[in-house]
Amino acid sequence: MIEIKGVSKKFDNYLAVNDISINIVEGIVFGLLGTNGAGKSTMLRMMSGVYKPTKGSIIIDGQDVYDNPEAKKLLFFVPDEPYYIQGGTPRDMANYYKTVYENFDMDYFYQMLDKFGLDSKRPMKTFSKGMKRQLSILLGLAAKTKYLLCDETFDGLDPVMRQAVKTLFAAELSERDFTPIIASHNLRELEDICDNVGLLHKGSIVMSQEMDMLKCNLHKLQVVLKNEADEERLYKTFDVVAGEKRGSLITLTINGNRTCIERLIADYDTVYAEVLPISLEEIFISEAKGVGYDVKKLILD
Amino acid sequence: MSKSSFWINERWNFKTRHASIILNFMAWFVVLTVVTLVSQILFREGTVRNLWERTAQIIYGQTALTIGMNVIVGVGMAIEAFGWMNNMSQVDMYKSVPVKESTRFAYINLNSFIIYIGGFMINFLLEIVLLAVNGAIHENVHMYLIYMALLSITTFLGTYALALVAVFLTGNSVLAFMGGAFLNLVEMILVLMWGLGKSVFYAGYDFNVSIDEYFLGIFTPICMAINSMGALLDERYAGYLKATFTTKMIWIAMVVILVQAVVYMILAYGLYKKRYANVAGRRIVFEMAKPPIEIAILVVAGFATGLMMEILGGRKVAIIVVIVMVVILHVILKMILDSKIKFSVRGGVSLAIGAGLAILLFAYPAYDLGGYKTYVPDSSEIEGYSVIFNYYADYNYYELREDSIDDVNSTAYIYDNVIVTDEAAVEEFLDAMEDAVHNSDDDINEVGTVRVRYHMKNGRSKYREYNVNQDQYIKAYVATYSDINYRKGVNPFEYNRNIVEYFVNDEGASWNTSLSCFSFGNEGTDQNFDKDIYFRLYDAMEADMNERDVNVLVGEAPIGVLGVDLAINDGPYRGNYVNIDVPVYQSDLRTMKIVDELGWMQKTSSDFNDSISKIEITKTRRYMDDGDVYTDEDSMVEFDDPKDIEEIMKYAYSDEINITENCMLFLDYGYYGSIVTTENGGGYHGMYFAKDKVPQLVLDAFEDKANK
Repeated sequence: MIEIKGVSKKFDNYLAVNDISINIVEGIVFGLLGTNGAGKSTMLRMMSGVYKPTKGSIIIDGQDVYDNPEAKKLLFFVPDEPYYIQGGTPRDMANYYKTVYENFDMDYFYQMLDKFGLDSKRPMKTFSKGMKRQLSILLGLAAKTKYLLCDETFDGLDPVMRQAVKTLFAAELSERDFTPIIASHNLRELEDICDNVGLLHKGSIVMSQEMDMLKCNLHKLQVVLKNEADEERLYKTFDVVAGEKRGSLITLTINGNRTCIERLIADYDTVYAEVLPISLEEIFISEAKGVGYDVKKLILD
Repeated sequence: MSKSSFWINERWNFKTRHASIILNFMAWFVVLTVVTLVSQILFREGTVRNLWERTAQIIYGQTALTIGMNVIVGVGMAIEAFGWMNNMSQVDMYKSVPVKESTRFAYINLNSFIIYIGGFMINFLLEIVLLAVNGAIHENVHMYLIYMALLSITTFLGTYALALVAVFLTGNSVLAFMGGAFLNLVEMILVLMWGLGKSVFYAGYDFNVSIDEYFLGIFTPICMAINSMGALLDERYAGYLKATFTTKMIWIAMVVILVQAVVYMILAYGLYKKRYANVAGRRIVFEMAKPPIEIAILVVAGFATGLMMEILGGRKVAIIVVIVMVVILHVILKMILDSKIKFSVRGGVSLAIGAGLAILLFAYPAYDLGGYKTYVPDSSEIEGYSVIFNYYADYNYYELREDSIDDVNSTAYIYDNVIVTDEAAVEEFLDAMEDAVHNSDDDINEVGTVRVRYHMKNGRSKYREYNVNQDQYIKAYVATYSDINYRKGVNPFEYNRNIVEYFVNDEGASWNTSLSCFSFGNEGTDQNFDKDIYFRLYDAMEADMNERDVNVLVGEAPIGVLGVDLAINDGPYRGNYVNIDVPVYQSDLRTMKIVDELGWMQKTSSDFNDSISKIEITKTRRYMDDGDVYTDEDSMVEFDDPKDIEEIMKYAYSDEINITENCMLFLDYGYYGSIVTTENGGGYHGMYFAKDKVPQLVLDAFEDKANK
């Protein structure tokens, strides 16, 4: 388990991460969501031991991660912009990682390279951005570490490759003790893969929950009221996270289970009312709006 | 991480450091060996064997080049070793893998050393082979080379460790290189600035002396190394090694440099551990490092500006410009160091300290706050003094010892060996100097300079230069000349007895003598003559100089300069050139007798007078302004009447006379003449008059002109 306890990171006078506490249990896919500049990369770098937290601690399987090779053996970090040895080939990269990761599986790596159609002897400078991404993920998987920390890793992958990578993740999850932690602002990519998500905004954690629970407890209600005077009562009845009105159509993001919402809305005289499942993106937008990160404001201001 | 993983990482890191390997190979082999050989082939003549021999000798003998190369390689390799920290992608990769930071620090540095040793030793062995093949291996050359190799290795370690400090303080390679170079050269830069300051503010400051101080720093490896290499160089001559040489300084230097390397490495490791991983590309990594860096830059730039403006506009202007410049520089530095293009004068403490130190550093010598210019010790404080009277009369003195020849610059030689200790002479001399510093004004005529080394009773020395008028000059000279130690000290014969042996015994020696007379039209009379005559002349010159009455110097002009040039063409001291130049007076009876015998004074000045078409005499005014001596031309009169010319020429002395050290004693510097002749299609000769011997018709002509 990765235990993040009251972690803050300050760069000079800029507070990049502010007092975050999350526990990431084993055997799940954890999605670290965040607005731009929310502190996702900083968080991952602290989790991989690149940065030392200014405050708090990050414990991986009982060991502090910073400057601790024993803890770092358990993780592999795939950064947003991976480094490739100048003039090097995939084989050179694998050779390097083989020196630092005792369990690095060369056979697996070469098999995967074949499957992904990447030449192990071809200089990496001739690779496309997507090919480099694939390579970095394959290196991470071949390291056979318990935790794989990916920063915006799916960016640059075409849909087929994204699916292929997700399949690989699924295979690893079923075969061994494996916990990928994926940071992204591309929510659609995480929606069908993450078991848990943590939402970061301006260096703070807005929420951290299981995906199923999140979806179960948060719904979208679309309603057209016969009597407009009921609108104010509507906001009081429900635990509204976010709401908007277009014409007479009111759309609310509401905390609560579906049955309860349906029961409550039945008390209103409506022209149209429907409770809809919410997407991760909508959860993200509504939660972000709750902490003052309003898309409309951003555009209109 | 297991031990085997350490070596695996070590090997892997080694493989990736192409830049260091190339730098090292280029430095030691291409630059030092190939460039030296090619330069020898292109610019020197000689047999192939000679070229290789010279190359080999230069490679192992050019110690400053070797040390300089060590510094360049040390700084370059430090940047290359940890340059990955300036790239965030590399930081992500290297810092996230399971390697302990201390382990990484250790194997990267170990690699640097291995790479250095690899390139250096290949070149070192090559040098030995080159020397052996060309028969240049001399008795102790092996030990010499080993000492040099050891010193080079320690110097590399020291400069590398010091450069690491700059690498971890800055976030990009260019600044790291500048910082590494600056830290390694900081002591030399400071001494250079101090020397420059002295030479600007204390006119004629003797840089020959301070150049030794140049490498006396103890905090930078390069100073220690060059200083100790200097100790070796002193023992070397003409590319050959002395049978024995002092190793104590080398050992001391190596130990000090190693201590430095350890201290700087610990400091570098502390910075490495403290450095955030996200600082790639930053100018300065640590906020708290900015003020001292800014202050250092403000002080250096402010002081340098002060020096320049002192020359261009004087002291007051300089101080104003320093203040303005420091404030502007502070704002610019804020922008650079903070990476923000924004006007800000924040950081007032740094500005105040930087500006204050810059002004103090400038004003201290400029306004002589330390009393440097007016310092004259009490006679009870000094053992004695050494003095050089004429700045332009730098004769070279040579000393041949049993086992080597050391050339000695006359200034350093006199400062070190010719010490006047006679109490009466000391009192008189100090009186003259006191008079010079307390009774000088900015409008004195006939100004000269006197350079002194005071040998203090506490074992230290103080070096000064005074501007003196002619009376002060004569008083100091007469006092000094009355001490037989001085007279014998400046007499080159006393110290050249061994040269005589070469004349007698060494067939490889050749010599040439000449008498350059100061009578017009009689300069440059050259003669070659045999050993017997040489010895007679040598003995006569020595006896005459030792017994010469000081009043002769005050009252007579020398007839010319007698020179003996000795060249050693073969044997272990081949290639050396020794010369003796001494002024000869009419009253030097023994010498003049031989000169007459040789017929060297046949031509008379009357022959020359016939060719004169005109004499132009300029009345000059010499004065001091802020320590510098200036000469103004007040007015000029011309004489073309043959009778006037004949009268003037009775009192005229060739300006060639001015090259002798005691010309200040009797020449009148208030008048300077140009003689225009018809010889060889027209020519000019400079002339002086003796003190109080300016012809009346010249004085009258100037008075007439003034009245008009």
